[in-house]
Amino acid sequence: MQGTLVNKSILYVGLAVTCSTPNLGTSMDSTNSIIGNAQNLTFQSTRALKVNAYSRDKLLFNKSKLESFSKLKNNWNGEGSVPIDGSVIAFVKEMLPDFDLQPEIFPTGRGGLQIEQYLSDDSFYEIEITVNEISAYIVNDEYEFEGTLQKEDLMKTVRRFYESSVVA
Amino acid sequence: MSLVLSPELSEDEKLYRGVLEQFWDYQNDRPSSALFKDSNGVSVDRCNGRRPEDCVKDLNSRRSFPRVASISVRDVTHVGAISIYAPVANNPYHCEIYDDSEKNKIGAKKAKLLRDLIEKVYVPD
Repeated sequence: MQGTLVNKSILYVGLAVTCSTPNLGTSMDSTNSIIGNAQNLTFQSTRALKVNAYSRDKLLFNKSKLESFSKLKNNWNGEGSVPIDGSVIAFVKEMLPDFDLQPEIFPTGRGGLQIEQYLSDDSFYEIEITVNEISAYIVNDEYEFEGTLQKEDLMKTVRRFYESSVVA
Repeated sequence: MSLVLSPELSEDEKLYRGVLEQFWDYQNDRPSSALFKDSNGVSVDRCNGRRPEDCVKDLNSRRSFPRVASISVRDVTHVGAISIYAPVANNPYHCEIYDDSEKNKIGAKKAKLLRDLIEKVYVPD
């Protein structure tokens, strides 16, 4: 994970609530080290989603949206806009069943896709996936992160967001 | 005779952005911030003293949009982005919004803030 960590605690929220392994305090000097440590921890969230939010209908709906986005042609969003890259669509399609709560999906004029979820105005993520990078803006109460993610960290980041969020 | 406008955008001036169906967030009844994520500058039309309904109508005459969103130049500046007057052959009102004066693409947070600062969404006839 690279980028501007406006508040380094954002990823710590999930860990602080869920991990039983101490000694995280010394690992807060970079986000990379947080991710590294998170891979070795067992999560037992006490603040996870209150309901089983899995929705087959929403999953199918999102898949159909991806199908329609794959048909966007050059200049679909004004002059110079490019079609959504097939590898980006395939990546998101493969990832979708792993979401506990299906996100909203939108195309971007950069040939990418944006997945987003608003639990409230103070608790949301927006993640844009393009061929070149994955950029995220995540807010969870007083925590805020804007930066890039590695492919392999995307789902971990989303899960941590949900684990540290209270859903009414 | 082509229309010549001042290159300066006033802070109070409104900018209009066509909103394609793909950008509409039905769950929250508003556009997604993806609306402001473009590889080039984000294309908008400046008002330049026209009535809002005329701005919307004119924008829709070039391409049909189900919705048109407006935001002020002041609010674009407020989030740290910039709006530049950039007329093109068929549109003397054309402007572009960038992340900064280097014309970088708009970042994730600024795109979200711009979406939040949309003043009004018009539904053309």
